[in-house]
Amino acid sequence: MDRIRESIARWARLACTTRAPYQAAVFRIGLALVIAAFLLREWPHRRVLYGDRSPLSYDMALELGRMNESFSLLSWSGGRAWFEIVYTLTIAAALAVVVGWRTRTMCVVLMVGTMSLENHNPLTGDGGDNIIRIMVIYLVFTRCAQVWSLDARRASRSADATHPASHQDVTGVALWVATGLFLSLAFGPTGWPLVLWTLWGVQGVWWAANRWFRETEGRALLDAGASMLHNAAMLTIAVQVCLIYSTAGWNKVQGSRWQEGSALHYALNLEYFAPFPWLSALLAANAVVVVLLTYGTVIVQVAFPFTLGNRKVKNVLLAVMILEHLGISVVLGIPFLSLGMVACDAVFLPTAFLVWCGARCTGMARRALAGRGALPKAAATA
Amino acid sequence: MVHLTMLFLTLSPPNAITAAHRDTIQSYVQPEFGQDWKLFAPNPKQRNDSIGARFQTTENGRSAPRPSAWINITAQDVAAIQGSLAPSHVHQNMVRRAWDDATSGLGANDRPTNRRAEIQVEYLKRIVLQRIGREWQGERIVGVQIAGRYSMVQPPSWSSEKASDTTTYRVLPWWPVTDQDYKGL
Repeated sequence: MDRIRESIARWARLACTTRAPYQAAVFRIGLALVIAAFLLREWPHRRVLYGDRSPLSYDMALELGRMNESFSLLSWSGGRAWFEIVYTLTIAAALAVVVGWRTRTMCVVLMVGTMSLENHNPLTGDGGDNIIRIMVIYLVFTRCAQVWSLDARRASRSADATHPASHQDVTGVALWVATGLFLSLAFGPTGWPLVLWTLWGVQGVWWAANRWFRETEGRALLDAGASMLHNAAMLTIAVQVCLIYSTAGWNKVQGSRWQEGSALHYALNLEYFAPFPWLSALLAANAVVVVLLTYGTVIVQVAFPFTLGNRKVKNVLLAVMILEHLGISVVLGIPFLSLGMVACDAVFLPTAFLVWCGARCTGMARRALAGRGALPKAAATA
Repeated sequence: MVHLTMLFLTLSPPNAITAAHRDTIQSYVQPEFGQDWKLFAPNPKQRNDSIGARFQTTENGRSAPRPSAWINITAQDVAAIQGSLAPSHVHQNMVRRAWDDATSGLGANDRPTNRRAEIQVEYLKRIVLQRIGREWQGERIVGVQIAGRYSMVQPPSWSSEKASDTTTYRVLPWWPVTDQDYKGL
């Protein structure tokens, strides 16, 4: 009986501590970088794709949105000014999420912005948009800024400081009031707005708990709840990635072209997916390479979920998949889809490897800054 | 858990559970978690679609409308994609997807079958008009015709399959063009 109780307690402890903080951080940075890069790349075309100059006019988009029952801030106004605000704010939020500045709030802004843009013109997206749109929702529910973020740095500093002034956090309160004002002006209490209101309320309660009830049970309970939610979200992301590979893989198994090993040949001969025709031709010219890559793709995609039980095999397969995504991104000219998948794959990377990468990156950054003398010594060692 | 079950059921092939609860599953998953990962599956596309358009133009509205030569819109897209590490959605997706969506929503006599199809047709038309502008070779555009040329990709040389050099065409009817169609472009 005691043993059972003990194991339940251990499981509860595991569930209530934030698991995989490094994986969450690398996922956050990767996903937000992809979104920022995508929006910046489309900057010259932004008004045609999602804005006031879109062939999908405001009225048409509105009607389509009603049919799809989708949520978009861009349905409020078809004017250029509002569109530019939403587009620019989304980029800003993406960059804030990359560096981990006010991550909890910025993740929500990023989610709303991304959804607004994608839902306003759903007729121009591809698999990459689909991945971004789904993953950015999951991201909101993770504690993705526990490491490698400005938030984490701020938290460790205020934990060191003994004087109460360091707990004041003017920016946080200002952000919270601003988002609250925006919500109350903008929304009624149903559907997506209800989700946003809830998130806003939780953020407020959490701040209050940290400010006034630091050592109480209530705060500990909130902390455990947030960890559990984080763990559930990370699990959801992992399963979603497995579902993506399984669907892609098992459907390919049934295809005659994948069976005869010629699928890659056909993919390489599609005009819309050949940014470098000489490269595509070079690859397609070698029959053995085509067959091996075609079979390899299917095997890896089908096998991946089953390798999760074995660390070593999983890691090898992960490396192969990331390399394949990078290759596809150039050869087929779909970088945002491929890099989005790389960010998702990163959820499965081993912690030791991530910590090692993190140390290398900060080491390099420090050397670069010290070399230029850009920072005084105190800041460089902080 | 509920969420993951729902996702599994949308992605799985039709079965006894999805047959019984299709509406519940759809209304849960759509639109936020809608997904389709059959990219290049079960088979990759084996056909290159070239979308082209030609126009009816008049000189100041006085002369009788006359058709222009065909303009290959896809060729413009492909030219923009080539050499680019990150092709824009405008070139890689817009015309390609609009054509697929619009043609799949057309019924008998190439008429849209429902309101969604009407929007998709209007969208395709406006994309083409935006590319070309209000006038073509100094004359005002009063009509547009859009067509697709489908060329099969040749099978690899080692394949025993016979090279099919069939090229087929899908030509949509002429559509009138007014100033209204250019609103906001």
